[in-house]
Amino acid sequence: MNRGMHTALWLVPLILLCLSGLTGCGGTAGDTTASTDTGSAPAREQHFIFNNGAEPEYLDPGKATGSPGIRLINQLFEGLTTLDPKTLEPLPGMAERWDIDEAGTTWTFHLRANAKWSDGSPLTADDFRRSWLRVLNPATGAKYATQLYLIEGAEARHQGGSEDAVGITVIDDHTLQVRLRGPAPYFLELLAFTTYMPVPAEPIAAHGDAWTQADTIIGNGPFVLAEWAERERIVLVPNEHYHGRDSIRLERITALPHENIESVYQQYLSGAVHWINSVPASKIAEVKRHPDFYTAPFLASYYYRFNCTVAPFNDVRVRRALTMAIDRQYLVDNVTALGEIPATAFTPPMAQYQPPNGLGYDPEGAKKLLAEVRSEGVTIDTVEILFNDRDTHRKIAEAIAQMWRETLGIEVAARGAEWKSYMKSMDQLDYQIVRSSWVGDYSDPYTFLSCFRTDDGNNRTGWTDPAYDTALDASQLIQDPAKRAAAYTELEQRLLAGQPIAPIYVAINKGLKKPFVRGLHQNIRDLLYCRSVYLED
Amino acid sequence: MGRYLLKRLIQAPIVLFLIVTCSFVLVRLAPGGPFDAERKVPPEVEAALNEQYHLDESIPMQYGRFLLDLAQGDLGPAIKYPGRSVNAIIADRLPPTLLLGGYALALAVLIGVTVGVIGARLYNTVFDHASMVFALLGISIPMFVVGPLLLLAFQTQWRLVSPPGEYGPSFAYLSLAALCLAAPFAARIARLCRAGMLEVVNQDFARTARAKGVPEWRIVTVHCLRGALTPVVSFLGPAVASVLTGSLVVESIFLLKGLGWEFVFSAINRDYTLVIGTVIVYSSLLIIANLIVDLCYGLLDPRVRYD
Repeated sequence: MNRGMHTALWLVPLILLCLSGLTGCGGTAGDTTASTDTGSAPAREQHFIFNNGAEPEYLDPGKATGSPGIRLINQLFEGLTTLDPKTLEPLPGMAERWDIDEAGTTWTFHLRANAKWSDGSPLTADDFRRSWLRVLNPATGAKYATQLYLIEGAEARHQGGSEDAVGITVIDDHTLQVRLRGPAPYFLELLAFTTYMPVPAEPIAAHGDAWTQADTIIGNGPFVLAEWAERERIVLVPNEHYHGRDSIRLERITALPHENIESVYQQYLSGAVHWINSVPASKIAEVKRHPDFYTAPFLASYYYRFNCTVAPFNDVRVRRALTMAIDRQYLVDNVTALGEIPATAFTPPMAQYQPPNGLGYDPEGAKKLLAEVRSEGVTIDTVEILFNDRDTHRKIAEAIAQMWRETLGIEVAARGAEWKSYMKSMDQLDYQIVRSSWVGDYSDPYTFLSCFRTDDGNNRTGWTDPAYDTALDASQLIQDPAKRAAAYTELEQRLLAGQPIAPIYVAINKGLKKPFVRGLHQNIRDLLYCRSVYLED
Repeated sequence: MGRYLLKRLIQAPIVLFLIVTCSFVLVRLAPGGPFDAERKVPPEVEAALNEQYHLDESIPMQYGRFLLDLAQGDLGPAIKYPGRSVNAIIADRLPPTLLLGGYALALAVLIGVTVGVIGARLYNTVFDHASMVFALLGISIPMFVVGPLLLLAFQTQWRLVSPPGEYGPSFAYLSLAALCLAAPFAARIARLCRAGMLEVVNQDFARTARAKGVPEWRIVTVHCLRGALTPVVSFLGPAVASVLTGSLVVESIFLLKGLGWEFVFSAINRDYTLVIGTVIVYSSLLIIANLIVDLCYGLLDPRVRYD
């Protein structure tokens, strides 16, 4: 026992030792950082390191949903088409060319003669057919299976119908024919979506869901998975069998899964990562002054949903009055402050489509409209804004609550909820007003407008307009781009007249990128294609 | 002592069983399920996924299935991460958490006891006042403030440590994380130890020792420290729990892999199987820590009896 107590005497030197160890080791570590940061070596190692934002759930293209997974899958797999990293124009992927019939519904794809899996085995038209039918098999549990509903018979198959009725025909090993429900100008872009990518038969049969581990995965994209250290890093290296191997310049990609944006930002400043695609909300002013900071338009809409099934929000005038009392310019200038674009329509502007104007900021009009409702004996005492508890959402909700209080004289409560409770409330229409956002899957307004179909799972407002549903279906049969755009404009006007939502702003891409990172483009869908990336000396 | 130990060893699994059962039911009663997402999952897919994970069965059925698997040591598949089992995730994340927690506890005891003892011996001097001010700061400033400050200073400003890169965190970086985690505990231990020391240092046995001519350092370290450590040891039991849960914050700030993160986020994600798996691990650790603490009382204070 005495000896044990003697140890206490050693405490002081031990602490000193510990602290000196801290700085001692640190010295060496610091040197390493400095050398990578200045890049004094003659040629920069082509090793691109970025923070991917989270640990991916899946690297299975058929099942992936979250962006951390999709960001990596886009390097590991390739669909019939792929997208231009900058413009998102569809480019030949596994298919080198395609034909389309006059009605715009039957597409014939001709695969590259050298289309191969990363193990060197040939990739055939049947691989695509099998992969797509796997997604459409309800037992697979592919959450994005609806992306394939454009294909004739796909929806019926997904709901339990027959595989034979699905419009996918293998003509020969290198020719695949696809019949669509209607002419879809965005089909070529959609073909590059992860859900349309081919998956290998054997690893899935042998390993089930675990097939995407580094030692079992087989892909067909520009890179292959070299290492997946869970919650630490994912390492990709070039795929030697990729048809465009000669143009790949990166030798190694490391994707880090860190979620703490503050620490990730410090990591960026210390030079340990080359690209981060989110910035800490608490340091916006500082980040904006950083020379590496960038912003770019993003195909995403930030808006508030009204629950159209409960009073007083079942009255469109109330929804309109509340919408008119939101000063969006103030929000993007003072609350979000990263260059978001105020929006009065739901769909963000795209190359082929300029959304019509909805209700702008009009406090007088809002007061008048609400007075009209009140004069009919309707009382609006308190309303509640529900949001998922995050700093930015809270700030926006509080600012809007203040606007409604001041302009309309109603009591507004802003309530933050934990993510799943928030989702549940939204799903069961157990809210009054709820914060929402939507990211487009392809550059066509349909990816936004289809959300508000009566029976769509993403409607979540209880708003229903049979004429809207009919017009939505009709828009999908129009082949002429100008007429199609006109139909979308009309649809959007109808949606805005119903005002089940109050659009707030078009979101932006933002991040920090080291100046020596080249070929990393900020496109409208925030898609990463590392095949064009390289590090400059 | 033997009987007491046996009694506690029998109690432990019962306590664990009750905790696990409650968690099993509670996590399923929480609003939302594992497949609720911003983008609505088609009903046929949700049905297929529920079937795959047996979530379409009644809760008693699910519970029975869970117990059967548990008896074979199988915690089931992690719902959020397909293709990975809860066992594998725990095996991967627990060692770093234990390492960080153990390191932090050791630092906390080391720093806390040293500062406390010196503070008591130098009672009412500048050192004593300064150390108690630091202790108060250590207790009051949360880890999510201390952590980023340490990173800002050592990593971004002075470049003394580098963030975990290709080969995981360096020892220096880990020390920084452990220091952050240890700070509030070291502060509490310092205060407890100082108070305990002040209480015993003038008691009869110490006076007798002094009268016998025992050197002062020996009185402090051999005779008094034992008494002074009793409150510290009582504190260490719950401290183990706080260190383990506090590791979530530190793991997040220092971008370290660990079980603390999974513990909290499995609950947020409603990853039912992973929640139960982590609950089992954490409650077992707590039960063991409390048992060790109770046994330590007897070693430190001869007056404690176990019957």
